[in-house]
Formats: sequence, C-alpha cells, structure tokens
Amino acid sequence: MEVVANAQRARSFGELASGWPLLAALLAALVCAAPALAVLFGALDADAAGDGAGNLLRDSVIGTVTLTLVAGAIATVLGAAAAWLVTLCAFPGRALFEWLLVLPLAAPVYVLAYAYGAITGPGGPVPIGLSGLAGAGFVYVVGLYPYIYLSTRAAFVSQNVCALEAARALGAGPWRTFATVAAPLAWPGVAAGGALAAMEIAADYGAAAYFGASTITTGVFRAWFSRGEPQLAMQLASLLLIGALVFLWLERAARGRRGFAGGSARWRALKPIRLSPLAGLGATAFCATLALLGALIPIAWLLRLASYRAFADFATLGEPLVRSLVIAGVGAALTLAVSAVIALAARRLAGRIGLFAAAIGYAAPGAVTALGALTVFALLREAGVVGGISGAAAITMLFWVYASRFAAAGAQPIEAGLTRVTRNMADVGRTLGAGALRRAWRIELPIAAPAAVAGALIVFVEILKELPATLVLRPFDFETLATRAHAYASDERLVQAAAPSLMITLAGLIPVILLSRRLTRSRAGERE
Amino acid sequence: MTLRSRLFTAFAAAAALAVVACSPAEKAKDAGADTSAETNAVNVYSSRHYDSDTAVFAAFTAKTGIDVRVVQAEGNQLLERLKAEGEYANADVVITVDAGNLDRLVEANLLQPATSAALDGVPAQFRDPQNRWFGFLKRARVIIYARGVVDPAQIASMDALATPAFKGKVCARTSTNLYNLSMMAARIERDGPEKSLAWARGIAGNFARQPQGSDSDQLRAVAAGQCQVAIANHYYLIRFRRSADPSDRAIAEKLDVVLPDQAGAGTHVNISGAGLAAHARNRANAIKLIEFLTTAEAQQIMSDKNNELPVASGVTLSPELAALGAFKEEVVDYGTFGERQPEAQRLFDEAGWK
Amino acid sequence: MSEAPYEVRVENVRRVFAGRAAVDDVTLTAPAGKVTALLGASGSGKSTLLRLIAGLEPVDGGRVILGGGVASAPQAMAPAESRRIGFVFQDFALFPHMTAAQNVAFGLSALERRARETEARAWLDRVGLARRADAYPHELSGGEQQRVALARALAPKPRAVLLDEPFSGLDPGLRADLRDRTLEAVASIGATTLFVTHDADEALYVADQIAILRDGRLVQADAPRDLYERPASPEAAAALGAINRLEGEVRNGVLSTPFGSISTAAQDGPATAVVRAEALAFAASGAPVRVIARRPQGAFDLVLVEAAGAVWRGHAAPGDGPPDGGEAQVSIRPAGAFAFPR
Repeated sequence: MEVVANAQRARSFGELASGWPLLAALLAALVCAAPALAVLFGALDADAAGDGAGNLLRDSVIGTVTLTLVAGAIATVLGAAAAWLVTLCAFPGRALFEWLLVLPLAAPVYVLAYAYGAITGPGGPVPIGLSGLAGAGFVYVVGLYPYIYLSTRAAFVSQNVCALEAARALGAGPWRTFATVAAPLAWPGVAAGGALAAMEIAADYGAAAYFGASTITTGVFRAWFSRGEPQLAMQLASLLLIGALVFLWLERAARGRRGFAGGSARWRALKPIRLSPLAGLGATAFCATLALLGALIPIAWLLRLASYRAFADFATLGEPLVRSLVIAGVGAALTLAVSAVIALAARRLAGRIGLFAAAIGYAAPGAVTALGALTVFALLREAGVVGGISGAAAITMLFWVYASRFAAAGAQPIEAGLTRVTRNMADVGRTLGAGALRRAWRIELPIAAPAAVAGALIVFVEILKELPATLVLRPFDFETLATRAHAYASDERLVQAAAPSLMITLAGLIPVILLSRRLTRSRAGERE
Repeated sequence: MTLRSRLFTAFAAAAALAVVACSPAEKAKDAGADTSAETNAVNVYSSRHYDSDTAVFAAFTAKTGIDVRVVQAEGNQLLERLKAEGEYANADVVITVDAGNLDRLVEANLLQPATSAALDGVPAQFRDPQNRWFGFLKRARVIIYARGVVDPAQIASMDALATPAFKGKVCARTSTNLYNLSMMAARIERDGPEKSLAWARGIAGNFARQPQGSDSDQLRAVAAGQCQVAIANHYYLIRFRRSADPSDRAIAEKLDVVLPDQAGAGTHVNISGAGLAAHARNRANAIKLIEFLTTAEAQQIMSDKNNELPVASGVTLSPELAALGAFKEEVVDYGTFGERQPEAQRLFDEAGWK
Repeated sequence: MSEAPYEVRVENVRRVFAGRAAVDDVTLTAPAGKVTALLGASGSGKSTLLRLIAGLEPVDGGRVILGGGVASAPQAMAPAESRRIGFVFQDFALFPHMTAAQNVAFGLSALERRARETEARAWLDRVGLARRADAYPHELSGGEQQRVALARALAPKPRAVLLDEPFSGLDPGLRADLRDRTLEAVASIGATTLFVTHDADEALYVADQIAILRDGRLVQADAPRDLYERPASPEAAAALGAINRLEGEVRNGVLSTPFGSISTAAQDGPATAVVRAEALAFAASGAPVRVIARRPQGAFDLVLVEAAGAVWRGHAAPGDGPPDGGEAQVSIRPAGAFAFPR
C-alpha cells in the first residue's frame, strides 16, 4: 500500500496540484509587481486632484495611446519588414545589415532624444525642429524597431521549413508562401516584439520629457512631484498598468489557439528569395536608413561632441564602465532566474499570474518602480527587517528593481524556448521519478537555455541603460555609465555627456552583436 | 551542462561579492561605520550633479581630512529615499538645488537645525529661520533675447513677455521645470493666484512653439530665429559663451540678456542650499561641511566652474558673470515654495502652459 | 528480482476531455509479470488508459490499483514520480540535450554518480548500444533511439512497463527484431508489461492477454487464442483481422450464409454473422461464385468473391485456389465463423 500513502489531492489539471510552481510563481510575481503596486496603494489615501487635472489626464492619455499605437505600429511594421528582408531575401549588404540593424538596441532612448534634439534643433545640421509627440515618436520608432526585428527574425529562422516546402509543393509561389504560411507562422514573434516595444514606449520618461510630449509617464511625474497630487499620479499610473495588461492579453490573443511550433523536426536552410536589382536596391536603402537613423547618425553626432574635449573624458570612465558591466552582468543573471521561474510556472496553468506581474513591472516607469521599492523598503524598515539603504541593502534593492523591471524581457524568450520541451519529455521525467524541481533543473531549463541566452543579453543591455532606479537606490560614491551620462545631460552639458553615452552604447554593442550572431549561427546550423 | 551551471553559479556569487565589495559604503559598514557614531567622513545626499561640487568636496577633504561620500539623485527622489530610510538614513548633509526642494525636506522633518557661529554669517534672506537649511549659490531667472532683433527696453519685466506685443515670439521650457515652478511660486506669493494665472495665460498664448527641451534649447531657438525671447537661467548663456563647442559660442554671439523687473520687485533668484540631516550621525563633520559650503572659498570654486552666483561676499566673479553687473534681486520667503509650487503647477496646467 | 512486479488493475476508470469520455468505465487486470496488449484504432482511448495507469492524468471516475494499492481515485492520486512505472513513448521523448548514457542515467538518481554511470552503460550494452553511449539523440537512428528510450525506462527497475506504440514509427524490417529484443529485455526484469498497439498480429504474437478498446470502452480482454477463437462481439472479432459481416436470422440454432450455415448457441432471432477471411475455404465442394479479384498479400493471396450481391474476402495460399476472374467453390470453416445476436 506504499503508493496510497503518497496519495495527495489532485486537481483536474494533473500535477499542477503540487505546490511549488504556484508558490514560486507567486513569489516571482511579488518580486515583479510589488514595487508598482506599492506605489498605487501608497497613494490611495491622498487628496483628490485639483484644478487642471482634467487637461493633464486627457493630454496624457491621448499622448500615450497615440505613441504606443502609432509609433508602436510603425516600429512593428519596419522591424518586421527588415527581419523578413534580412532573413528570407538576398540583396546587397544583407550580411552587414543582419547585425547593423540591431545596433539601436545598445543606445538608450534618452540618448537618442538628446542627439536628435540637437541634430534637428535650431542651429543643428537638419533644423526641422523635432519636438512633442512627433519627436518622441520618431525616436521610439528608430530606437525600438530592433525589438520587433529580433523577435521576428527568430521566428522566421526557427520556422519549420517543411511547412514552407509543403506550401511550395502545393503550388504556392514564394510570395504566396510568405503571405499564407511564413508570415502567419512568424506572427507570434512579431506580436511579442511589438508588445515589448509598446511597453517600452509607455514606460519611457526621458525621451518624452525631453521633447515635451505629454504622456501618462510624464503625467505621473507632473502630478506627483510638480502638483503634489499622489492620487492623480496613482490614477495615471494605474491606467498605464491596466494598459500593459491589455497589451499582454492582446499579444496572447494574437497567438491564439493555433499551434505554431511543432510539425516535423527536420530543419533546413531556407532558400532566400532573390530580389530584382531595383527591389534589391530598395531593400538596401530601407535597411541602411533604419541603421543610420537608429544608430549610426546619433553615434556620429556623439563622437563629434566628444571630439571637442579631445576624447579626454573617456579616460575617467574606467571605474564606471567596470561597475556598469558587473552590475548588468549580475543583474541579468538574477533577473533571468526570476524570468525562468515565471516562464516555468506559466507552462503550468496555475502559474500565469507571474506573466501578468512581469508585464506590470515592465510597463511601470523605472522611477515609479524605484519609488515603489522605496515604499516597500519603508514598510520593511517599520517592520524591523532592515535598516538604512547602504551597501548590501542598496545593491539588493537595485537588483530587485532590475528584476521587477526586466523579468518580462527575459521570460518571453525562455517561454519560447520551453516550447521545445514536449509534454512527453516532461512526462517521461516524471515516470523516471523526477519531481517538478528536478525536471525543471535537468530537463526544462537546459533545453530552454539557448533561448534564455537571448533573454539574458537583452536584460543585460537594459540594465546597462537603466537610469532612474540606479540613480536613487545606489550606495555612496557609486557611479555607473548611465548615472555619469545623466549627471551631465540633465545639466545640459551634452558635450561632457557624450563620452559616457558613447561608452554605454559601446558596452551594449557587444552583447547586441552576440545576440544577432546567435540568430545567424542557429540558422547556419540548420543543415539537415 | 551541470559543470557549466555550477561554473555559472560560482560566477554569479563571485560577481555579487565583487559588486558589494566595490561599494565604498559597504566597506565602511563592515568597519561598523553605519551604526557607530562618528567616523572621519561625512555622508552627503545631493541633487546637485556638477563637477564643481566634486571639486569643492575635494577641497574640503584636503583642508579637514574628512572624507566626503555622495549619493546623487533627483531632489524628489532623494526626498523619497530619506523618507523610506527614516532614522536609518545614512545621510549627514542634504544638498539640493531649488528652494522648493529645501522647503519640502523641512516639511517632511528630514532636516534639523544646525547652529554655529560661522553659519550665522549667511544672510537671513538665504537661510531657514530655524537654521535647517542654508543657501550658498544663486541662479537668476532671466530673459534671453535675440541681439539686434529685440529692443531690451521692451523686455524690462517678465510681465512684458505676456503682452500681445510678443505673440508668437516667446520660448520657454515645460512648466514642470522646477525653475519655472519656483518663479511662479514667487509670483503667486507676490501677486496672488488670479493675476499669476493671467500672466501664465499671457505667456502660454505668446509661445512661438510648444514648450520643449532644456534651457539651452530655448537659447538655441532664439539664436536660430525660432523665437525672439526666452526665459532661462542666467548661467546657460554664460556657459555658451565659455563653451568648448565653437557652435555654442556662435550661438552666444547672437544672444543677449536682460535681468528683468529691476524697476519692480527685482529679478527672480532661486537658490541651492544645504541642511543638516535629521538623523545625521556625523554631526560635527556635517556642520563643518555646511560651513565650508557657505565660505567664499567654496563658492569661488563653484562659481568659476558652474557660473552660479555666490551668496557669500568676497568671491571674484568670472568676466562673463561680472558682465551681468550688479542687479536687484526679488526678496521672497523661500519657506513658502514647498506649498506654492504645486499651486503653481495647477495654475500652469490651467493656463495651458504644457 | 527483489521487488515483485505489480498487478495492474483499473476499475471502472473514466477520463473526460472537453466533455468527451476518452476512457469510459474500463475495468481490466494486467496480471503481474505478464504482457498485456491494448489493441485498438487511434482514438480508442488506449494511450489515455496508459497515462491514467502511469499517473500522468488523474481519473475522473473509478480507481487505478497498482500491486494492490489504490494509486488513483477521483480527488486523490499518488504522483507519477513515485509509482515505479517505466514508460516508453511513441516519439521516445529522449532528452535532446543529454547523451544516450545520460538519458539512461536520468532515472538512476538514487545511485551515486559512478554507479549510475556504470549501470547506464550496462543497460545500453544490454540493448546493443554500448558503442553509441556518448551520442546525442539526433545522432541516433530511429531504432537506436527506441532502444535508448527502452533502456532508460527499464534501468530504474520499474515494477510495470508501459509501452505506447513503441514500434509504430520504425522501419518494418527492423520492427519484428526490435520487438522481440524489447520484450526479452522487459522479461529480463520481470516487470508487468502493458503495451499499446494497433497491429493485431503484433498483439497476437507477443501478448499473454489482449484487451480490445473501442471508443474509450473495453470490448473484450482475453488470452490471444481465446480471443481469436471466441470473440464476444463482431467488434472483438474485427479487431484481430479481416472479417466478413452478414446480417441474418438464427433459426433453430443455425444461421445461413451463401456458403453454408453457421451453428450457434444463440437464441433464434436476428443476428450478425462474422466470418474471418481466413475461414473462407476454396475447396472442390461448396457454393460456386465468381472471383472478382485476386491479389498477392505476402503470406497469402487476398481473394474477393461476389455472392448474393455482397463482396466476400477470403485468403488463399499462393499458387493454390481459384484464378483471378474465374469461378470458385467456397465453403466456411466453422472455427472462424460466429453468429452474434443483434
């Protein structure tokens, strides 16, 4: 009767009954959502909004909705088109663009904003005066399209060639194959990238504030710090978070009930569509424009600024550089651990809460998350758990905020990687006596690991660029590249800000190029 | 795989240790600095992020042997951090730009009175009546105009910019900017909310373009002919004049400055100030640092590097600063700014000043 | 063998997916140490039954009893991890990131590292894959993958082994050989074996007991010979090979067909006659009919004849019996003819 002794309560979804996925998901959800939620609840008992709140609310919502929809959609179309060209077509410079197109990911959006403010401002080389929603939108499009580019390319690259060849065998030409098979199969990748970009747009403060665009995020700051109305700030912030959840839901709905993975396990290199000379030229021009606008022009501008000081500022950046790299490296590792728990739990029905919590954390502006972390910290202090924010406590808080902010960016690729673990693999693990933990550690995570590397690289770059939380939570005399760049930029000393800004971009380039290379290599390895 | 994952775990642990070890505060904590009373250091929370301040701290350390350790962040975020840390806050001195920030620190009981004979020398106008903060640098909110395009006599007051004569000719940054909020706070204190709202409406109706960018960008816009007048702090023009970037100097050539309201209340002046943190552990060192900040020696360094105006007397101004000339400053009660700034923002919002 | 194999018993088990019962009120005992084949078409619920036994799915009704202990009942189940049941999936489900030896070692976590390694390699040796121990799954052929999956399932010495169509994806040439080796290996650890197939020959060949499933229900479970010789229903008869069906009437214990009558114990009344294809005899005596077609099928020729407006299938030894398009005289061998009341 030994078997009976082990009997436990079961639910209709099989092994989900076992407590740890739920528990772990709840814990991860707490890590991600606690700071943002603390802000919301913390503001609950504040006074009602005063005069002019209606204007603020209206302008903020219009601004954010317009930016996420319009800039998000344009970035999505451009990113997906670039991914399709680079992955499935042959045209001059294709190999070069494969990685050039990823570069904007390395530059913080606020740095792009500074650069374009100067370039298009009065007295700049192209004095068209980018500003307001248009200015912010432009920077979001050229700075964020790589999110869609990367995820779409991953989707194209991992596509089941057999399905495509079956379509060709059924008489569909290359274009019809693309429209009816390849594009729908890549859609989850497009949607995932688009959702990330939309949440980035919603959470951005730096570029919107610089261009004077009224968004919900700038509205939160205006309401809270300028008007002294936390209640209004809370209303705005909750709009943002609700919007994020709607986006997440839309993205899931876009995947729908269709199966996207699977079919045969035979992979082979796709034969690229050869473009006509004219179309090829167009493709080259298109990709070149994206790379120029998103990375090369701003970088050139920063280099020009840095040259005024004979690049002397770079000499002082050694320590901040090392600190940035270490912080980003460790932060990415810890964040990814949270992402992994969320992604694993999401495979089990009970664990989807983690995904929603991660989306809340991702869509919350960094400064709000930082303030939320402070609020939670204050509660912990009153409970006698912690003392002041110094040394270890500051670093812990910082890593916590990073996890909260970026777990979603890591969870998404891990989730995709986990689809390679078939139900039978998990089941055979169970019949061999492996519990949920051992299965996660020995089967699910190792199989998802290649995908997780992509997540780690993205999170690494994000932390490298992160500013507001690092600013407020850091210990004494703790300078990173981002805080150094900010110190000068916020003082309107763009010439001095150029060197650290360039350094962030350069430090981000390496992981970003690695990321792109991973995609290329996985493609090369598909030979049958 | 297992080997790799072990290596990875080991790396993560080592890196975490490295980060913690990198942080000087942590070393100090290991030595018991956080809990014991006095060390030969002073911990500063500052919203000023200038090289000038680093130079002043270095001068202080050279003079007294006291280490200065800094956390720098936005004023409002430092406030939140201090609130969250409560009595455990490791701050001895809090430094911030803008009188409104100082006032909010006072309101939140995050500062305590500092008494010393040296500090009594700070003019009463620039310090808290209960000595919870001391101003040490001033920045004037001025009118920048296109040289040869605008007659300076027509822009002798801020009120002039709100008149129909300047329709479509005015540039300013967004109303959330602290300098605009403080300027408006002083105006509300002086003229009352209704007249202030009317003025803000006038300005908002005269904008050449929607508010955007920094003070420097307003100057660039005037130089490029996008607008004829702009509201900005005085030192941005000085900075352009002293810039390493030749295009900046070219911009400065096209601009000139008016210190407004000389015939009236005087030009609006905002301050940077320092106060003794409510839970300061290194109290004696903290007072020494605040005293040092109020000296002509320290303000000389900051004025030279950052083009701000000294509160102390006996500072030699740079030629560019000296060229502004002596001017009448508006006398205001900085202790009202914490309360007035939110009101200012609401009026701006109502006036349509983005 | 230190541990006795399980007797695997399911009692009235039921499993519902989206309102449809995949397994419906099935009661079956797989005797300890014996081989039971679950035979049925796809969608008949046989794979689900295996998953219920392994504890990979909860039951919605009834009980799963392993070695006398209740392992699954509604609201309570022992986790799959603790059941000591080996499972070989149709797609083998090898872990792609582990070598063959690592795959086999996975279930041996109770052993210390060195012993685990030795044991895993010993098992690979037993299935004839000693040389491929360090290969990754994608470097192995289908048959090799199957053997790794088998070694992995058997290595922890399970008390029952469940095989879900383990040979269906394989080259027919390999299949018989692999099947024999597999069952030999399973027999060597003395475990109770349940094995899903849709191939009647395979079931007849290897099983001690065959359970026929249809639409989630158990049709009949018996020893192969009993099942073959005494099917309980037309469905049971049809499951073990090609049959001819004829609706008729039993009168005085006899049902008439165009080729003679079938004696039956059934009551008089409407009945279904079932005649196995191999029970049609082409002999000198019998009813004369026309041969519509004759096609070689390997061991025998398929002969289609027409009688009373229906087409009948029969088997003839190659080179023997009626020619294609010719005349034939057909009779029925009583051992392969049954009548079931309707």
